[in-house]
Amino acid sequence: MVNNTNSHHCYNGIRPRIGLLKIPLVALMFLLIGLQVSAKGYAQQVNLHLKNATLKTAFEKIKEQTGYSFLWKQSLINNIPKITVDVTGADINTALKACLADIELTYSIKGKMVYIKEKAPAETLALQTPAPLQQEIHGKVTDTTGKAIEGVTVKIKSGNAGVFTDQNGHYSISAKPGDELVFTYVGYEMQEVVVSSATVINVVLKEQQSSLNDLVVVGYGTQKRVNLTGSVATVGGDQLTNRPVTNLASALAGTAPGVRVTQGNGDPGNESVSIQIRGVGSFNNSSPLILVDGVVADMVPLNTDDIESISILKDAASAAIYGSRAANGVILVTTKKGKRNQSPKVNFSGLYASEKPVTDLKFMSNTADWMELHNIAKVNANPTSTSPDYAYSTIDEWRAADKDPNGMYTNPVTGQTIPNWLAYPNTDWAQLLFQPDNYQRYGVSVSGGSKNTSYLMSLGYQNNPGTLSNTGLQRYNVRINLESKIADFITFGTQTYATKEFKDPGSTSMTYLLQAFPGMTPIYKGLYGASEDPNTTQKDNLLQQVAATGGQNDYSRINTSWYVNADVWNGIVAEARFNYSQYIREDEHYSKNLPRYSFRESFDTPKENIGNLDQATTYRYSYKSTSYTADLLMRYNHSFGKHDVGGLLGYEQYYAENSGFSATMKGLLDWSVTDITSGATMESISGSAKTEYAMLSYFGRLNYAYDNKYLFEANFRSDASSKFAPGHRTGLFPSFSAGWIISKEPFFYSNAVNFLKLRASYGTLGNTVSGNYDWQTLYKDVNNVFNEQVSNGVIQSTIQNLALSWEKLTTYNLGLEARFLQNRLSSEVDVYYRKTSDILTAAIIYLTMGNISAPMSNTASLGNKGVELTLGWNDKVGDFHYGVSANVSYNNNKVTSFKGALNYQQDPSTSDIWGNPTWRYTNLADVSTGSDTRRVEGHMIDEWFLRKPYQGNGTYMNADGSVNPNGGPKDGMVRTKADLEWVKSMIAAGYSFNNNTVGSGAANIWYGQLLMADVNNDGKYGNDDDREFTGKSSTPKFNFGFNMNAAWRGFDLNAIWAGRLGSYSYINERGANGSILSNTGDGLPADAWTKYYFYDAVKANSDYDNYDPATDPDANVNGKYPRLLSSTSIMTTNTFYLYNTSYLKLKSLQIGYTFPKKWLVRTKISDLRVFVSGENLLTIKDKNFEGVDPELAGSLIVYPIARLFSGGVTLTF
Amino acid sequence: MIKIKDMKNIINSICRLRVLVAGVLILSTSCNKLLDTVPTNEISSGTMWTTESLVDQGVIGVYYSLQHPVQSNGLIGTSTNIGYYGYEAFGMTGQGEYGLNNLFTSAVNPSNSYFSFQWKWFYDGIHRANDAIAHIPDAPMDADKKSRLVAECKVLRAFFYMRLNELYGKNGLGVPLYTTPINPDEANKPQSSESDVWNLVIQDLTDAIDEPNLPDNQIGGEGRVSKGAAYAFRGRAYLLTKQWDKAAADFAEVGEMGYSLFPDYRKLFKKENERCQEMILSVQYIEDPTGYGTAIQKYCAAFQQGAQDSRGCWTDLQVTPALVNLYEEVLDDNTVKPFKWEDYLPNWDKVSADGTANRKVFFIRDEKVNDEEIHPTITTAINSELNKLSATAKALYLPEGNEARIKEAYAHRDPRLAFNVVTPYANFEGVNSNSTAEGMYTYRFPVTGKYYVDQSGAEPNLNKNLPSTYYTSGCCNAQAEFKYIHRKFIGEGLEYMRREQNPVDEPIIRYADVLLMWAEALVEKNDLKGAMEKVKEVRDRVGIATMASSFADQNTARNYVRDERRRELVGEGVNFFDEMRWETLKDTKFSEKFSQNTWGGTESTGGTTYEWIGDQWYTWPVPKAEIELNKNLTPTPGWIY
Repeated sequence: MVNNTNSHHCYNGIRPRIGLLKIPLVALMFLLIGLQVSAKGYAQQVNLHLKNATLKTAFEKIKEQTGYSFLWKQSLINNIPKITVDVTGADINTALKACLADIELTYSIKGKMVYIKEKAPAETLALQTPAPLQQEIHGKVTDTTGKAIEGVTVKIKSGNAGVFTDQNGHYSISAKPGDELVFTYVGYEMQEVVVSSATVINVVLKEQQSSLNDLVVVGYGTQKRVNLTGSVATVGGDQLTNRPVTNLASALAGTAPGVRVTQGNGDPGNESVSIQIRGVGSFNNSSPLILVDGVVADMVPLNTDDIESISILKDAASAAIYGSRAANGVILVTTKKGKRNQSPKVNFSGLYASEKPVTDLKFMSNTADWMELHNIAKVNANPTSTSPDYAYSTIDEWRAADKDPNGMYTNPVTGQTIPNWLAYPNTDWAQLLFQPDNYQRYGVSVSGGSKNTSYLMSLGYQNNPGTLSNTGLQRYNVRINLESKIADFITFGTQTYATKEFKDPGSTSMTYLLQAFPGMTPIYKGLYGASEDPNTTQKDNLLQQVAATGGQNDYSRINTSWYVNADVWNGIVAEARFNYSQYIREDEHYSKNLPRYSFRESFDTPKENIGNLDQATTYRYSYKSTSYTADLLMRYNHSFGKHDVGGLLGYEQYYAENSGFSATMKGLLDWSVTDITSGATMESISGSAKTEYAMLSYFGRLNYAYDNKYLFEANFRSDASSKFAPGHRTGLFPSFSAGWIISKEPFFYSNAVNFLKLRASYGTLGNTVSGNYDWQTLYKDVNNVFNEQVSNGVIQSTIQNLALSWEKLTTYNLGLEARFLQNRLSSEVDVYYRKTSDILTAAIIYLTMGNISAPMSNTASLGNKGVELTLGWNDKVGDFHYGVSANVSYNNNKVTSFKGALNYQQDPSTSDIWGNPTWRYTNLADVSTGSDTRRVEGHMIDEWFLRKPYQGNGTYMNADGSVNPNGGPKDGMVRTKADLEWVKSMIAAGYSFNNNTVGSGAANIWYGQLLMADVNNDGKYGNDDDREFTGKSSTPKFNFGFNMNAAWRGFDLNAIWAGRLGSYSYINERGANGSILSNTGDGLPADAWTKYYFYDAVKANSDYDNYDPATDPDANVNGKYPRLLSSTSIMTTNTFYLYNTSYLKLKSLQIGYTFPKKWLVRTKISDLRVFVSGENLLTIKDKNFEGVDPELAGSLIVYPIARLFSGGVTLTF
Repeated sequence: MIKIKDMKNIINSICRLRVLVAGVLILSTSCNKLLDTVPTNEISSGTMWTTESLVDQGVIGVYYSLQHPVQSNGLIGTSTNIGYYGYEAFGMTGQGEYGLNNLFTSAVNPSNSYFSFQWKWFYDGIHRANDAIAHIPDAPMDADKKSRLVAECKVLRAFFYMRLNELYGKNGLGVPLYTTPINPDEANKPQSSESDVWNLVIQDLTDAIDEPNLPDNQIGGEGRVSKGAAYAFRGRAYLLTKQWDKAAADFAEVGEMGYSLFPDYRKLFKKENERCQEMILSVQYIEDPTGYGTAIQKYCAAFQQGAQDSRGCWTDLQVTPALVNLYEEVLDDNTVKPFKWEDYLPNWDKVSADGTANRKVFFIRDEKVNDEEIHPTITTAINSELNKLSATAKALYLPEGNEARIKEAYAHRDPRLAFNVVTPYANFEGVNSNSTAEGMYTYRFPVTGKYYVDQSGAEPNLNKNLPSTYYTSGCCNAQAEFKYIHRKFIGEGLEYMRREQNPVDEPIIRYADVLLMWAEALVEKNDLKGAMEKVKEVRDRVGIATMASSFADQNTARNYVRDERRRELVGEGVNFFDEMRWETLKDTKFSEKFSQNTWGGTESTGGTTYEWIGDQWYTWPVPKAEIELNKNLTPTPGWIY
């Protein structure tokens, strides 16, 4: 007897998601030897993929494919609801049954004619029987192919009684007319039949569309979700398409539990997306291994429309087949394929979006205020200063002009006349630099197949101009996925794609943003502005800086895989694959002449930054990285009795090399002659060194299932890497896992629970080091001048470690999957523990070793514990279908061993102010690294290690007149004279404040200064020993995502939310909340006047006795942040500046409308959908957060992420 | 039928298996070689020191260690090649706009990154030298050359240990001594005694002096060390260990090796003379290709200076008014006297009683030229400055003679002042705003408008009737106040190609330094006449008289020699080490608490204030992190760890 599961494989084996290469053996055997012949004699197979289609459409499709004609009475199908059918490779009976499953119609076939007729009443309707009597109902349960199903639960809905079908699908149950019989079986849709007078009720169960039967792509193969024993999350291509994202990786945010996706900035093509699976797995590389169609590749530039699905392998059991590179999980991207026996389908999509920066950074744009605040900062730092940075006369002029923006300004020298708003600009650079623009993408694909060949060809184009000029990216994608059966046992195919990207070269160090001067107009009538204050010159115009680099960066990728797949012998399928991929980057940059104009002076004569052809440069850069991967795989699958056995053996070679070259020449003939060959003199030549990396691997997998209930799997991989010394190159990484589908057990019987599976796994994985030659002692060349010419010198740069090896990772995973309430509610819980050991750390070496790089050694270890939970609800109410899915993951990270335990003890060599030993971390430098974030045993990785602000009780003196060491300012800030006097008394009494003295300068304790707490009670407030571990780090504790979808008639809605909780960043920066303006051009926040503490610095200094800020009406003693200063203060880093960067973002929202088929009948269009969608529409964050965007954490000087509103259309012919 | 089918299958299968096996074989060949990758841009340990070429390059690597001695961050706000002049800001002769990383405030502690930067920098050089000294003898090459290279490395090692011991060793406690290559876990020795370190320094230099293959000098040479350098350093080591006779004897040997003074002080610091007879050991720099020079021009020069590639320099590091005031007034060929502001500005001291800032009045520019107001805007600016001053001070402003007085005060001075410093209202050669033409610039204060004469809106456009000699003014570092600006090493006009790649070699030790150290040794021996001779040699070069009264007694002579070193060696990174060994830094640097304007005012412009924490400052603390890691080290006494 044919095993159900395998026969299922057989039919679905041709569905594109699976990949032909991975067809289980038994199925293939049948195809080739047995069924093939009879199938041919019968009819062509039917493929129907209809969603909300009319019956008529379905019949037409079947007719197209089979040649059968249909006959029906129009009145019969007039009021039939739309049907949804998805069958592949089915015979005509199956197809027809699927079409008519929910409909009170049946059929008969005579010759090549199908007659549609009403069902006999007995089959569907309950008869009204006057006296319900208990009677024995029996019947047979089959699947849509007519095959008996064993183990189907048959229950009476109202009661608890239930039975199972036997191996022939027969059941027998006692019921009375009017009872509802419920037939449930895992992987099949539930059926309810009302008992009538008939005692025979035969039921056909339809396979469920649910994900349980989905084939999930796993390492080197596929597996039915129901049979998975590891922890694998999947993301369907439908969650990725039609979204205006430049970076595929960023589109993953919120879609899968345990996967944290963070975008680093909004620069098109350089988004710095980081993906972390189950927390930080290492001190070094914590990024997952990414494979596209089985080959290590960059997922970023892929065309999202080409994606069929993405699998995320999270635990060791599922990832171990990738061995030494899989420690941080594996992401498998699978692209779409054509389908055999399908007429060409042309799909067109177009999308147009408006793009806007998302930034909460608002600078002080009022130039007069900005200047005055700078002057205040200077006087605060040195109250005797008499030379303000900005003349008060200038400030007054500016203020006067602000009151009359349309008044005219006349230049006393040049006579230029312009309106005040142009002569006295007030620019908010943070808001002005990034401007809205329009994003667009188009794609067309053709797919289909003949009897032996299937194909998919696609073209994609997108243009993301970004929100900063001269930084846009245009991308072209092409792909051909082709597969052909060249002999009855050999299939040959290719997956080949190429991308071409053109990136505008504009760039600037965003640090300049924090030094941008508001008194200039960025651009006016095509001319870049200069400072309009004649005394403030040579200020950077960021817009002009970004524009000043001409040229283009040009990135090309080609990635081509070729495979051949053969049924070799008795169930053994062999496959050989070869992939070659190449990435070439070519940049050309040249100087542009973009002078800055003071519009007060002249529109014709530039004020500054006038280009000099002799100094203009032209630059060319070329970089190439190539790799090849060769695989040989053998698969074996066999079923006998209740046993299913599968196996895989493989061998892989991987080799990669890269190198680069760059040159700059100086001196141009003309601003329009920009090629490097036209440069006058060689300025510099350099490049990136050629490096190589190679790996040889053997791997295998063994699956065993008993009775589809007990599942076992073992994986191993042996990797040998060129990154280690001979003798230390090979590592073996095994894993084991098991699953138990409890709901299939006879004893398990539940009304509410439809499916229950328990799974457990254990395995070890490796993490590769990044350096290619870290094990060797290396001498690097340095250039020195000798005899007045460059001479090569050599110095030792690294110290060898022959024993260098992989980082090892062990994962324990326990998972529980359950479905409830007729499969409407699904849930999945995973609990894991990941232990990373042998983490490579640069030894802390003695400073006495100099600046040589410390050798890397396998020393530290790290633990990650976590829980992942996914809950989903899918249901329909009438025509309204909806689904909600939420995933939450919690991860707790701890360094378990590093440089030794941290000691907190009383140190006799350090005494407190009373002469007793001080409590302190005595071996901090010994056992930890970092400064404000520390890496040390027993704490989470890079935990914030900071002082905290002092909190006094608001009193000052004790009753006996002595100073109260617990008194003083309640929030630690010296706000009033009483506060300052308290500090003085404290110091007089022997207490100390990090050895600082009271005084009016910047480097003293004074008004507006934050005092730090004396955590260890040594009488020394806020010294080094008062730093403590905060239990906070930049790594979030919780990550979550919500996905919602709904459909009603032709409308559909899809929303993805992503968020995190419990991450913290340190933000203390000018332009936001920083108090230090060490440059005369430093930025200030828009709300500076209320934000900072203000007092009269001059009076406080010259008339200390009579001045108290508390009674000064002009002071702002309640300002949250310390006083502004023009130079470094004595402020130490502390928790006051630690901000919660948790957020919840509506990452994507899409609303679409699919036009009814009947509207399209007269066109060639078979499918038409229009949609509107948005990215990054809404952010919910901590109200105190001071940064640009919590996703960007503490970075202020970044290119913000964009918000996009788009509209688009997809068309299928 | 069945049988035939089975047969076919079997045959088929055998064929297929063969294909598979063949495939495996093809892929598996030459696999293990695949893993043997070696870097293409570096040398691995097995090959180093095995050929003459690698030995040569290894030794050049030791010389490379002489570069980048000072961490530039905090001195100038950016990370760049700040050469030995970087030490200037630490000494009496120099000051910086930046806060110097709290090095001179009460917040200084053993965690300060300057302390660890220097410590690591010295030991880098020492380990590279140790590696070379240990491995060169086994290299297959000419024995004489090997001996010479080992001797060179010993001189360099001695230099590094000398500096280490000067800074971090004192009162008997030296620094850890390593003389052979070590593994990282062996770098945990305690400090050796101070004298052991000196003994090693002297021994290494003695070995070099005794090495017949080491040439006497490197005048016009490749830029290596010579016996002359070894004598100069050994003399210095003896001086530091107060062995005056031996010091004097070694300094005398330096001249024997061929070194002498170069006749023209001003031109000594130009590119063409960087390998002249006076330069004993320098770090060599060139301007082409780029990347082999110091950033001195950009960070020390006046704003309007620059180079062919870029204009606009930053003046982050400056000369102190105290040093400028040390340059004597020349009365005639045989007479000099100490400079006093009172001699030129009778109210100088009186005004400062009201607050030093009031002295600014003397530096404010003329309001009129040839009896005509230059421009109302300038008059407004002048009045706005005057209004900040006390009424008494304000009254001292002379609309028509203010510039003339101040120029007079700088006019009759030790010529080295004009060679080393841009003083207010002095001319200097700069570049225009496009770095295409040279021009003369003069600083005036206060100013309106732009820096460059050729820019629209620059001051000359205000009044076209100004005489052509009245070059427009700018201000330094956008601070709108006068500071004393370095001229030594600075390119004039378009002299050099790149603003951040100054090509002039930086002397580590030159003959004038040796002569003045010699004079020091003689003063300590109480040979005051001898000392005066050495000082006179240095002063004669610039044509300035040496007064016998300056050597009247040992104490006077001692101070005079010290002042002479300050005047002569300003801008060369020498003064800081002098003040440290004399333990005079407290008096000379901290007398005024602030980075100063030309009038010596106490007003801070860049926020730099100086506070002396105590005499422990004279010994730099072993970095805190190293004390925590290496329990064998003794924390530097006096410092709070």
